[in-house]
Amino acid sequence: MSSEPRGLARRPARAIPTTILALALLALGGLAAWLIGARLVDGEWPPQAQDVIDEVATTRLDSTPALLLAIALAVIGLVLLLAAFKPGKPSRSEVRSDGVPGETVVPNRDLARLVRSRTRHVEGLQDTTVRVTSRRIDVVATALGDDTDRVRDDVSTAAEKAVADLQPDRPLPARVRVRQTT
Amino acid sequence: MRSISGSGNRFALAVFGLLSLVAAAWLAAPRFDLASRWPAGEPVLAHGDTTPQSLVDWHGPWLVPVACAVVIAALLVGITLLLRQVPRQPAAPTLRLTGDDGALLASLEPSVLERALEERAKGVTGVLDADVRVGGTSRAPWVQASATLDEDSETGWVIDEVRQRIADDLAQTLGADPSRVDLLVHLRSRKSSGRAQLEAAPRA
Repeated sequence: MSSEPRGLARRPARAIPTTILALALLALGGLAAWLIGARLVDGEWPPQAQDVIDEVATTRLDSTPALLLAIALAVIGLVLLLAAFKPGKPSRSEVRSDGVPGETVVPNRDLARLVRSRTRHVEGLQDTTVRVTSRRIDVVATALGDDTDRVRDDVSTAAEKAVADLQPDRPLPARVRVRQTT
Repeated sequence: MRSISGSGNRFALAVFGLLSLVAAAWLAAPRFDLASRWPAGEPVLAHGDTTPQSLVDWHGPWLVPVACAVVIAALLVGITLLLRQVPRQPAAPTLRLTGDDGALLASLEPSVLERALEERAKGVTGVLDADVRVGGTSRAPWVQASATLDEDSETGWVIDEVRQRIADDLAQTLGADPSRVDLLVHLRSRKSSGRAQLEAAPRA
């Protein structure tokens, strides 16, 4: 066992696809155990599954249903490989690297809430929707009135100022889109 | 700090992805008459007129034991994968303080140190809550902490102060600088935190 803990700025652990895979294995394994168990104990397939098994047993492997099953398996295989090898986006940003070894991270969701809170007081702004990724701050601002350029500049300045104090390791420029209310 | 092993999950996904692709290729091979185009693969490839029933007839003697083994393996792997999705904390063994001659001077439970460091972190202005986890050895300790900060505070200064305070206190206690101090920062509004406490008070 490694004595060092895993870092906090992690890529997604792929818990959801793995949980789905585990549940699928349990479901298929349980179904197969029931069928094989009944066959071994009673000498025949369970009556509930008899019709399906008879149909599957006589299906040729060059038939369309077999091809469809092959396509489905290929799609599932590709999805699993994609989930395994695609790194995914980290949900936390590293901030304030200093002399102390180790890292400081802030969840992107908390950064978004901070930006939303700091941009709330921009004049002429009705509401904002904020999303923070590892590359930038995306702000969708709803402006009152016609002065959308000023609102865009003010929101952009306020958003970048909000995270400036945290000194993200990767710069987080703000991208602001302004919607006008009628 | 509890976590799930991402590398283990990705390995499992890759293995079953490859198995799924191999199964798909084997199933699709009769449709494209791969056996006649690739004679070397004849022993393992299925033919177009093959049916599951004919496979059972040909390979009956060993098919049942192999099927039983595969089913048991599938169930065990499924259960193992599910259990691995429960977040786990890294091991935190008792810290043993030794002298220059290697003699044991004292033992320290990490939980004692963790509570003390939590109190120290909470003492920093702007910190609403803190949770500290200490691990490693007394010669190379590490810390993983989470702190909830008031978003209206000087967050940059608070973060620096919390990390420095934890690192200094740990070095002073154990006589060795920590190998790493990781800090997970949550930002909250003090107003919403205070309101939640007021609402909770009458029920308690």
